[in-house]
Amino acid sequence: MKKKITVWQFVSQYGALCFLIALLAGNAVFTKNFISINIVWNLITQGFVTIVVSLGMMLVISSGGIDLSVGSVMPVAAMITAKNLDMGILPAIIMGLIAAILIGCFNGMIVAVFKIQPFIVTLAMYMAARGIAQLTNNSMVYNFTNETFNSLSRFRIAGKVPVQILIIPIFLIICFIIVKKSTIGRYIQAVGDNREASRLSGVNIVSTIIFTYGMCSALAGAAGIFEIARVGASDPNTLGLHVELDAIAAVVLGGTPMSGGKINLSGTVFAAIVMQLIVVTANMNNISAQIAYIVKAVVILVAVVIQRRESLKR
Amino acid sequence: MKKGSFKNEILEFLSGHSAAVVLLVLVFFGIIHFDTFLTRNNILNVLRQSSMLGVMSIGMTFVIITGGTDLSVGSVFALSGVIAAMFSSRNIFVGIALALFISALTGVINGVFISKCNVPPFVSTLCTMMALRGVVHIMTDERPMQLDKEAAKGFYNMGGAEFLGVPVLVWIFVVITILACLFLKYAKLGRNIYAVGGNMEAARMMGLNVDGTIIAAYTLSGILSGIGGLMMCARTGAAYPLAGNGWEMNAIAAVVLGGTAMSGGVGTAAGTIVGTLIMGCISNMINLEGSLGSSWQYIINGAALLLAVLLMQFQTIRKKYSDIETV
Repeated sequence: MKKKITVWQFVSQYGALCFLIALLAGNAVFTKNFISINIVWNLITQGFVTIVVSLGMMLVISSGGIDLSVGSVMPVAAMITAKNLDMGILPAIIMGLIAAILIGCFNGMIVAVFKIQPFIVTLAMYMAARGIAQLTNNSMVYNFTNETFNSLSRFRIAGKVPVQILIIPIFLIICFIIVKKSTIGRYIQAVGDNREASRLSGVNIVSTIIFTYGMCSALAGAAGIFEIARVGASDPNTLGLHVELDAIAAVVLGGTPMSGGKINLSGTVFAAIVMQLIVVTANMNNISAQIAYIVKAVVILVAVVIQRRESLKR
Repeated sequence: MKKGSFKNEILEFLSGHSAAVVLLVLVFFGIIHFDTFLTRNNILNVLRQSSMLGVMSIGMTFVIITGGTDLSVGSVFALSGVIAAMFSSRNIFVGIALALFISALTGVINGVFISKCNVPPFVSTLCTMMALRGVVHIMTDERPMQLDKEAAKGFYNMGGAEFLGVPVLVWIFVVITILACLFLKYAKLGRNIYAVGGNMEAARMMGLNVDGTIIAAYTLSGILSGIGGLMMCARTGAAYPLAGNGWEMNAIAAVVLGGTAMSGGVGTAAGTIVGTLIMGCISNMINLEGSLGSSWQYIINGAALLLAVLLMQFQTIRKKYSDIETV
């Protein structure tokens, strides 16, 4: 028997997608020059960081935690990579990623072993990692020139299509495999849903949580590395500032509840694009970026209120 | 036997007041290491700088005891300063009243979304944080807004004035602290805040007005951040669009350093003050040292926070084990 789905249920399930379609439709009508292929490329290059960081945040939130430190992990990985570019690009990137993963595993270990709330652990790391990133270059912007490294983010396929269109799917596939095809994905959701029950049924909680935070940090680190490749300089003071808030907002807007136990992968991606699209829309219509902030806030709040309403009804 | 129990008592006392111990150690270290640490000027400096974050953190304490968080405090802080500065040329009292009203209103909005619509506190206050920061940028046009120092002379002078040799800002901080301690300890609403944070379902079944308590806690947090913003505005003589940016994290850190559990139901305003002073002392000493950059402040603050929480966690674990033994 087919279940009847009310409009509200549909909206709460696919809220981010609905917003995305509504925004696109509204833009197509009201914004001049909106319907062009360039818009898509812009969205993808500018939204890259939010999308990648949100994917990691989604894993952490579905495990019942939260990671505030992603915005500070980004500059740590980026600075380490930038400083070691002379060693060759691949070793430099690997070093940056390892640093990020270590920070994530540290977070996960404290959360899992000492049972301290993720909010506080990652808040401490949010402060400390920012300081560490600044120390690497005395709080100054580190400029570098390395054409090959820059092309990681600047290369345009056939002179037009940004290379990010190939990179994002790689991250998506990794997350898809983790979430849908692997046991670890099931474990993450189980731990988020009911930690005690999953422990009793033999899930190794410590390693699951460490993996989750490590993965989140690795994704954040990768986002940082690709971002400095795009900019051509690494600024330890501002790189990744407030990214954690955008990412959390995207995850929640995408339909992954803050209480954990559920993952909505596609929702997260759509929501991250929505967040970026709001900014782009404001830009194209000569509306100040500040109003975009306000709009973002309202969109998130409305979406969450609808989601909560529906989940309570059930 | 007696000796052992005495030792235990000391250990118990130390772990129960770990934040105060950390502060004492810091102060002791400061006195030994820096000649200028114990001068009147320096101490007043620490207190003055801590006063604004302190007032904000007290509001945050209420919210965290209910089991929530309030990320909007930094934006409310900025907004109330901007409103005061806007009205300073006409009538500063209207400005102050309006600033506090808007701050309270933000808290009410947060509280209603959280209690009536079941929005997670993090999300609801994140939204008000973003929206109000946007409003602040629009109102100030992203430039500092000067206070009319002639028309609002009394208000501006208050920022630098001293009473009995202590800055007025510090007096405000002290008075609010004492009121908050008394409020949490003796007022009905204060007790309700603990009850709601300890066990919301139980509180509801006991007939407490849970929604009202939550709304009140967020409203108090809003008002106190507003007061903090006014203090900052009076002190600097201008309202900056980026004022209080990131302070929500510092306030949360101060509250947690002071022994308030993020899970709710436990905590004191006095502890929060100790937490604020710890952060103030750390930044003061880094300034006195001179050779350490501000990046070290981040690292040391983060490490201190983690250490404090780990200590508290060990304490609760030990208590659990000792309970099991005695049973």
